[in-house]
Amino acid sequence: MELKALDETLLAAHAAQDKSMLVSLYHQAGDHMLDLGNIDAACFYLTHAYIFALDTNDPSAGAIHRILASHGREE
Amino acid sequence: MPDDQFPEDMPGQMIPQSSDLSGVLQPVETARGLPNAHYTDPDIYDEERKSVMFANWAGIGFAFDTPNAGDAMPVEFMGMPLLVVRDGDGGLGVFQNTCRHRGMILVEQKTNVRGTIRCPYHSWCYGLKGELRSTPHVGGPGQNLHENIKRNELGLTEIRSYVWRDIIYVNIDGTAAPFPDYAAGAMARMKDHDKPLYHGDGFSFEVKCNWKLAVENYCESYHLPWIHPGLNSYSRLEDHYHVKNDGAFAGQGTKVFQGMQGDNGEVFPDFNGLPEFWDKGAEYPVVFPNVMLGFQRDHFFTVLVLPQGPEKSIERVEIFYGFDPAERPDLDDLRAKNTAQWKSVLKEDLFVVEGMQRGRHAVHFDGGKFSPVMDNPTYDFHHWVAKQVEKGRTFGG
Ligand code: FES
Ligand SMILES: [Fe+2]
Repeated sequence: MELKALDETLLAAHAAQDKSMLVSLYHQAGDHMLDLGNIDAACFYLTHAYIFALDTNDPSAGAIHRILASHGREE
Repeated sequence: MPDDQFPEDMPGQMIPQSSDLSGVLQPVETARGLPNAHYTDPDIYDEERKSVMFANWAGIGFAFDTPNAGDAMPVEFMGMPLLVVRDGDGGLGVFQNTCRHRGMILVEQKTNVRGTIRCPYHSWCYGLKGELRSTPHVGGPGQNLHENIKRNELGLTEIRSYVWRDIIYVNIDGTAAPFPDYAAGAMARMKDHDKPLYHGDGFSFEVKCNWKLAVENYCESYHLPWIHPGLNSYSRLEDHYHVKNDGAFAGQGTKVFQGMQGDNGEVFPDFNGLPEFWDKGAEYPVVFPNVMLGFQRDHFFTVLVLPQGPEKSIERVEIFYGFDPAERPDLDDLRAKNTAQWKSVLKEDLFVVEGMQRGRHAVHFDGGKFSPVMDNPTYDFHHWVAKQVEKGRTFGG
């Protein structure tokens, strides 16, 4: 997905408070940044994915946590 | 601004006075009731909030309000934001309902938390036992750690709580004796009634009086023949007695309780295995400061008096049975009848507690006089409140 399109989808998901959508969109954005080698931006997005995953008890929380922890961003 | 607008030198300026409690601390024969200011003055209301309510074990709600793992219910008690949370192991915790970061209110309405309690401000996340689980971007964008943000020191502030008879008691300032010691008299006296309780029905109403007047009126049986003439048919004044004060506990009992009967002769099953005393006995004590209880062989109720300011309170009434109402739909009508009866009895008291409240604005009222025979539990309560306030004035900071 184009970043601009992603942005718009994200805003829509925020507006709708669709948290599982937010987990997956932020996760995608994070992975995209990881592919580009931009660790800071990736961890920014992944943090959002992680927080919404914690919020909703989403099963992806563990996997996202591992990525953040491996970059020294989480305990 | 001219000098005379600064209040320091203003003549006749109101300096908050602490009330004179010496009359209340006399023996019942010569004692006076609490001075008017304890019912009308916002400063004394705040003082009692601290010395009477927060320094002891106050009832704030019920365990059945949050039955399922993840249930979280905000409760504001005398302006103190609390959060009741049912954790994954079935335990109940009471926390201050504020984030450890910037003090934002965490939960606005009763909800079921699926994962973590996420602060609506900067999204710090807390587990159901209050532990701080994540602090997003706290060390900069995408960095959720910082050496100065020690998660193990920043869990939700837990408030001491204890559940007895499904009532959630809290000791907000953390200084009271452990609840089983604090309420030892009540727990020992009511041991017979340690039975499984099933919640039936409840209702709440607002009353325009200081919280103490509701308690004082509940404590005594003196008013029964005048205010509740309907109770007379089965409960005459001479059949009532005082439940002896034991620390933070006093009230009244009756020896002629009769269970309720429906139109077709149906009755509630009694609590299992009660001693014979309860065949006709019923007791109506108060665990000070604000939990009024009613023990009968076939149902139990409690009234929480929830102060809403010096001259306003909410009474929350909940009625429990020894059987599961869901399994006895045949008793639904009888339950409704029982609820209606208590509602009408409690509402009969409204005009007296509200009338006494208005009476507290009479500048020459001196706290009143106790009948050394009939008013003992009410006196016990006044005396206890005065002691708490005095303790706060002596040791409170
Ligand atoms: S106030 Fe709660 S995260 Fe900032
Ligand atoms: Fe009454």
